[in-house]
Amino acid sequence: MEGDPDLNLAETQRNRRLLDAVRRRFGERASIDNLDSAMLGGSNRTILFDLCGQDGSARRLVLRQETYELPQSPFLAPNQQFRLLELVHHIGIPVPKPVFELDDADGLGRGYVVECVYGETLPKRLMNDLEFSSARSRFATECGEILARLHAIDPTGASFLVNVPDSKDPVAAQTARYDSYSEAYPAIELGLRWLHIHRPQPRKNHLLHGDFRNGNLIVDRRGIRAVLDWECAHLGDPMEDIGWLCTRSWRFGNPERPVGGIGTKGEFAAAYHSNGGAQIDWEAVHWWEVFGLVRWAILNVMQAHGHISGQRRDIPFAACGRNICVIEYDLMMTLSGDYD
Amino acid sequence: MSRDWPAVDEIIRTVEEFLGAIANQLDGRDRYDALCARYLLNVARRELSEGAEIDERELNMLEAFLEESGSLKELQGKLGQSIRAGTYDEKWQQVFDLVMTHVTNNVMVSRPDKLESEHRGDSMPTKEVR
Repeated sequence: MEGDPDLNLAETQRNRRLLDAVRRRFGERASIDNLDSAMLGGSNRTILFDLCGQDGSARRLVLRQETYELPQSPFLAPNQQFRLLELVHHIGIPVPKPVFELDDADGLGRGYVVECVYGETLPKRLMNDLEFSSARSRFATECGEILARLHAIDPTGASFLVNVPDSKDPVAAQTARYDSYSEAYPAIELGLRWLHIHRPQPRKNHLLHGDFRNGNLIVDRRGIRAVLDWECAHLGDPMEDIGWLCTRSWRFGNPERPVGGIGTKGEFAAAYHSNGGAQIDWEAVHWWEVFGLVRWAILNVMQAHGHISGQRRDIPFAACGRNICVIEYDLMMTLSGDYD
Repeated sequence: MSRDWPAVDEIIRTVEEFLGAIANQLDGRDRYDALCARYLLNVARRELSEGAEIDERELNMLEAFLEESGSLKELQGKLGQSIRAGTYDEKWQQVFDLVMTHVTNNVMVSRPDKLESEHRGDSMPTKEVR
């Protein structure tokens, strides 16, 4: 994109504003260096940079700028994400340390800055590369440990999540988002109907990550270093987080390993229980796996809608539109019992 | 319609090959974009070849099931509304098979490699589901 003068101008302006934002908080002698952008995420633009002090020290930081600002957004506002990061970081859940929140004076839109955590997030590398063999052997166990600790947090500390639609009724929240795109997907309707008919008994609300899965975890050769992407956090049934973690789409072609295509449910359950997690209701987890497929299909509808409407034109988002039927296929095969 | 070579299918295949080759020289976001672009062209090539026939088959199937006529999009919308209203709760297997046919047709165009062997032909599932 070097030849696009508009993009270059926008990037130069953003970098200048980021420098100003840093200097407002760390002093006029602070500078930034080694800027790099990560892939466009579902709701955020991620910019990595070094915060350089006058003594020659450098601290690698990450700017997360909100990119999805449309009605029916399934994502928490950045200020809520930041509050949540502060809460869970304080409790000791492995997350990037929150550094500062953007404000109006920064001119960078809504977002925040956290410390960079080094490691790998790409599922296929985590699943196959030799250097992660030790991390793989502990993956499901660590997922169980982290989720048990997260679910043990007193949800009153995150009471600002009470009004998130997913905290009230997750199926209704998905249905409302799906309806907002005004597209007909009979398989999604069938999935929503099945969820409606087979809904499990409601459980006490806990703090949920909402997007805890292979792909949102930073892993190094020692194991999980950080849990990313808290924009879908809400209050609800802990089985939801477990079901989402095990949803077939996050097994990345390794279906016999339900925990992110890497680990087993038995490994996960042992760690979840031994760290204080409640009894796992596997029937409810299955319902949440079906819910996960419906939700993932609707999120792909959202990305395709953003591309088609021109609000978020992007090649991968266009590809999401043609990925919907693949998720629907997994959904149908799961409903028929052909897939677990 | 031009008779000049290459034909549209070959044009798309040529650009697909180019994107595949260039993706190997890229990394990060550019590589990912190139691979997504190649995938989309792959879908477009299959849809140009098979899409019209699939649409016609689906339209006939939906008209027979719903016992009304309309465009494919209209009928898919009506099917969705009826599923949501519970109209087919007592005919779950029939509506399931209909929707499965629709989904496998779409996967045949988008990612045929993702289909199980029983769905790569014309046969539809007969397993009882509820």
